[in-house]
Amino acid sequence: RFLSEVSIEGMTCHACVNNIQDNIGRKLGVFSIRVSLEEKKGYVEFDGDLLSGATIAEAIDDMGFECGLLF
Amino acid sequence: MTQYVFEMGMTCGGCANAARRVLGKLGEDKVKINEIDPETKKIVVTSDLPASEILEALKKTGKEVKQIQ
Ligand SMILES: [Cu+2]
Ligand SMILES: [Cu+2]
Repeated sequence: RFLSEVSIEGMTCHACVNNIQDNIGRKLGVFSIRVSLEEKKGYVEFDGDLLSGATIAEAIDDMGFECGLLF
Repeated sequence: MTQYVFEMGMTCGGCANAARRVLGKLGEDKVKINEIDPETKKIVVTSDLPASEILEALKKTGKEVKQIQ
């Protein structure tokens, strides 16, 4: 079980937050995700055998929100 | 160059930005954006790419989208 923190740019409201949480949350290997609009951050708990922080950041970026891995 | 019109379930400026960004990822100058309007939910673009490729890109935003023209 790994925990990563990512920066997320471009969200403007809670619909954006829910959209990211729903899409990433249903990815295989993701246990939980919490996105904060105020902090412009996402906190993801995942299975390190299936995913990495970088692949999660890339998946969020692919949705159109500029995303970087913090740790 | 062909003009395509898509209807996407955009609800805010964040959705519009995401649409703009995924289209940009198809490659610089590959897709000319004529209009992205969260109010009318319309996206109008001009491109040499097939509509299916643009539709696939827009779907990555996680929003409901269909081609209407
Ligand atoms: Cu939003
Ligand atoms: Cu939105």
